Amino acid sequence: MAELKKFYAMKEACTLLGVHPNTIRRWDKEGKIKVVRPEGGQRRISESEIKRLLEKPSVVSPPSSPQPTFPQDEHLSHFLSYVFSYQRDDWELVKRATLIRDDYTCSKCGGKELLEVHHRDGTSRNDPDNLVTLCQKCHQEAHRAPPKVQNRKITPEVPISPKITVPKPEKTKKEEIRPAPVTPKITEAPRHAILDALTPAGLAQRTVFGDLLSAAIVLKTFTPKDLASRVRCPEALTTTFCERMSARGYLKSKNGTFELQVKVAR
Amino acid sequence: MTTFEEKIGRDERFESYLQRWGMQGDPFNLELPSVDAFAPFQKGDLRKLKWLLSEGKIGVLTGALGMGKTTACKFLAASLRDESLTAPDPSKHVLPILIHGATYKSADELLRAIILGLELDANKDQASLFEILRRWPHEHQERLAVIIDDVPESGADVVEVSEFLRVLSDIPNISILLNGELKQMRRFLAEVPALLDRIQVHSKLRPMNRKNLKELLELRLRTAGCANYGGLLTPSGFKSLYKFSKGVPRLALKAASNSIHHAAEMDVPIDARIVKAANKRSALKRAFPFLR
Repeated sequence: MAELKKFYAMKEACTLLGVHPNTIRRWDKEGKIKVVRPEGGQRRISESEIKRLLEKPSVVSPPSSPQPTFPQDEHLSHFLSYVFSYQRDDWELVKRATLIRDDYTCSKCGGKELLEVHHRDGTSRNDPDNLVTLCQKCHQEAHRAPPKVQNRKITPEVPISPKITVPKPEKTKKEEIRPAPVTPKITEAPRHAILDALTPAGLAQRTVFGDLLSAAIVLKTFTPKDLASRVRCPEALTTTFCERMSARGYLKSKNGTFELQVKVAR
Repeated sequence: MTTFEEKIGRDERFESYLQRWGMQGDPFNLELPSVDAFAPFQKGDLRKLKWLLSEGKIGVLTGALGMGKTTACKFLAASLRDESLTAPDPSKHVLPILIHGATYKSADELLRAIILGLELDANKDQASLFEILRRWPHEHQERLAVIIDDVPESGADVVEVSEFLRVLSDIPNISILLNGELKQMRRFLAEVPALLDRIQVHSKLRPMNRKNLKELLELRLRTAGCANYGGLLTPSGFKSLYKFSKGVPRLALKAASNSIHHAAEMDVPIDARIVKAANKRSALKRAFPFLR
């Protein structure tokens, strides 16, 4: 009996972690938490897993972090945590909750008239940390300023991003330069042009070549036998198809298996 | 045991059961577009349709749900293609183009689908594309067989499409086979008498009788490699299969597939009890069988 671990049902885990059941389901999908599904298929969360989550709330459980920002009054904090974890989409409610939390005072100038709620980072994310009560004047000022702030925020990242983006074109250029003298690595051609290049004998063979081409696009690497079984046509035809394709440079053969080297343009 | 382990166990039992009867896969698989999928009595109908397609005529294939209309169309397309590959004379070639009715939304798209089915360049304007088809008998020796599956299910304007089909049917060397559910097809054709006048063959797939269904099921078992098919499918099992499906091939094959899975679970041959247990219907459906 001592070996038996304690497992919590969804509802219990939610109350323990202070999150919505959907959040746990999402974490499970993203692989952030380990969830057991015994018979019946319902999620059960082990005690150790919940302990782990409670120890480092900043890593996995973002909703548990806002709790310190709430005032100490028990009923009020309960209400606020409810609103911010379950009712974030209801703007009227979130706005009222923010106003209550900030005690109906502008956080910049301390004014108590014409109050509005402002998103700090400019997105519409209704996090308690992201929301501040401001009076109309301060709010307008805040919205005039942010573009500069946002630009500044982006600018430190800018030197990093060109470093990543600059080598990329160089690489592609090198790739383009290298194979060009030999054969273009992956050419792009419309479907009918590829089929024209194969010079089929008659329209019936042409349609079969078309089927083989679409099968080849799906398989990418294949042997003539694979193609024949997929398209249900005689194998002699698939071998001629492969030969002609490789003669035009559309296929690359590697001891028996072929690899497609052409992209069909839309 | 988790549900996943249970499923794996079921699959293993099913496989070993099939091997004991000498088979490789599920014999009652619905997707089997080869000649083996058809019983000898069905081949007469197929021969008629094939003749129609190789003569440049226009025909209609109807039948209730699950009668095998689409399977017949797929089979016709595959067999015509194979024949035209083997025959040396291009004037005897028939190029099948199988188009599903739900894929086009106007006559223009249907035209483009036909051109694409021929693997030609479809990035031209409508007039020059139609010119290809109009000049078809002068420039090509091969015949063209346009098979349109589930015509009435298309969202396209009925008058526009049928006018296009009428013009297409007047071109020699191009044959058309339209396929649809019986009532929908009747409604579709009633709107355009001009197309109705040109239809030469009207074939209808009917539910099978007891003898034919038995032939079909046994043929499936035999081609799958089961020698002792009489032992696997007992007479009482067949009787209840027939009663359940009322001679509709799709229903019969589905019910048979269900019951062979159930029989593998129980490890007994297919009899009436197994068929009944495998194809349980809800209380509502049992009370009102006409509800779909």
